[in-house]
Amino acid sequence: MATLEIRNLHARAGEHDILRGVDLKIEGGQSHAIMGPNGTGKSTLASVIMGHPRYEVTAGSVTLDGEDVLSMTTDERARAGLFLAMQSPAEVPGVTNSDFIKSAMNARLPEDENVSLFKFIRELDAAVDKLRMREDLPHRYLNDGFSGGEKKRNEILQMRLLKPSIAILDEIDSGLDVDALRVVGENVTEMKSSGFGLLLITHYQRILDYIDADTVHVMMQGRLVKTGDRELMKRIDADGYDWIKDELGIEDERVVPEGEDPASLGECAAKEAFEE
Amino acid sequence: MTTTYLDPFGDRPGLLIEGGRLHNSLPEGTPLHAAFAKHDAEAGPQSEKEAVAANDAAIAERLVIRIPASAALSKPIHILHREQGSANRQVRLIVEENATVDILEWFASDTPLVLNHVLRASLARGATVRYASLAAHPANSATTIHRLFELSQGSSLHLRTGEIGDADTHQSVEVGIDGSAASAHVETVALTNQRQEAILTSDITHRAPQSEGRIEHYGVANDESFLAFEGAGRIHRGMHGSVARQSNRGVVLGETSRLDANPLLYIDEHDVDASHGAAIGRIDEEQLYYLMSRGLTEHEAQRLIIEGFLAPLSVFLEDEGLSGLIRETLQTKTGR
Repeated sequence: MATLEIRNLHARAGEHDILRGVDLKIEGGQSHAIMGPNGTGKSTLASVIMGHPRYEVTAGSVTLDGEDVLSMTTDERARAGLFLAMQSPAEVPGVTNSDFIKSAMNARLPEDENVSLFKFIRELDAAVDKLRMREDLPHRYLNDGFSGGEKKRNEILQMRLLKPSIAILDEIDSGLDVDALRVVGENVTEMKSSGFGLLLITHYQRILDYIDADTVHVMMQGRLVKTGDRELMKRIDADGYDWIKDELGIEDERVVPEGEDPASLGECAAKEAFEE
Repeated sequence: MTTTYLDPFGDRPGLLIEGGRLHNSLPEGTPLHAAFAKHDAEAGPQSEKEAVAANDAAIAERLVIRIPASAALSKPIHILHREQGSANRQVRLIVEENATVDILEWFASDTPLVLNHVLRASLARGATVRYASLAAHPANSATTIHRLFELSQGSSLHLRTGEIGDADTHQSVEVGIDGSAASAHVETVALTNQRQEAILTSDITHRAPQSEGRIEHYGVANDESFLAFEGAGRIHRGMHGSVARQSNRGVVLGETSRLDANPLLYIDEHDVDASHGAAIGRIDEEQLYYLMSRGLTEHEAQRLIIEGFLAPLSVFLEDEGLSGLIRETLQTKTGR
């Protein structure tokens, strides 16, 4: 059973200390959600776990089944079982989705083994169908010219095929209209098993209408400041975050400087609806 | 004049080529001989005008390919140029009215070579040409390859050229659009390594209204090599409704390699749609991170990104005979 354990994690980007002591433990079969206002370090946590070169870990540890994640390269983390569905995945013109996903699956096999082409095509076609994506997806270039919603669904498609033991979904709901949100929710829910741990990072609670989370954490000032269950999520949905700030005596919850928050670049659902 | 059946790839369908083989080796005392002697002394390809003039003055070999009016060939014509020592060659391509043709051309040599190659092509009204041409000469070769096209009304050219060999090279594409509603799309790919030098020029002149010209340059410069793209779109006065676009994209792989792009537009008409740009840099860190986050090693991720970047070469990769060779060359040249 997979266990991801984060202890007292501190990380910075350039001059800015962003993560200031994160503690979190996720086990297979569990679903956690991290909520919080913009700029509090949620996406940074996801990026640091995956090893984005922009961030530098200054203290703390991350382990997967006892193995030190922080000493692994990004690709080693992925092959160890971690998966991050990114908020703004890169576009890679010239590389087809099919070639990319096949390479990623082959990377998990011993050096002299390749995934069977027949099996691969069958699995890929099935996933395209499940996510209700365009049939020509395998032949299109990776995320190139994709709408915001197509990119998000492509992340989930990769997750289905790569079968990670711990998956982190970073703002998977941004840029999705209600129908797309339902499709994504169904696909993620279908993956749930005792060997699969899930961490949802979200600004709004609406994704939690489609994907059930048993533990809800609130992030402020680069730490998880409050933990609860669905009742906590409902309270946030109804009353926002101010009551938590009052309760904890937090005046400024932000750690990411204004304007550098990738979330502010996200696309709104209305635009997405027009695009598709 | 002899008639030759050109069938460079064995069992592939060839084409009737009318041509005259004038000399097997470079005649001494001709301007071309002088030009190459100068080249040998100075080491560096000569200027384009000099090369074309020398080629006209002393053609060692000429192929004439004529596609008759309204002909449509179902399969591409394959042309293989394989020679040794020094060669001075001209290919004349005549595509008559409403004819359609696909050409796949490949330059190779087993030993270092001095080459002066000129293509002169004319597209009559309504002709459609897709022309893919790839050079892969060995190191210590010096080549000049100039490709000149004249486009009549309603004709369309899609040209893809590639330099994936190790030669020092100076290549140019020059398109003159003389008829309205004609279009030219020129894509050039180059991959340089070691101490190689390559200068590639694409120039489209609009001498007719409602004409379209697109130039795309893609380059990867590895090791200590030097790669330069010179692109120009020229729209003369009165050539309204014309489109001139140009893009340059490059990856600098080597520590000390250099990649230059000089996109130019000369516009003497206000009713046009014109744009140009250049994006040159190291491999995109976000792309690398994204691919690695799915388990691809850094090496494999870089290989995939570079291969994708060189997607215009895919027309060659569809050819079984060439795809293996190209993939091998890419790996050798990029070390990935």
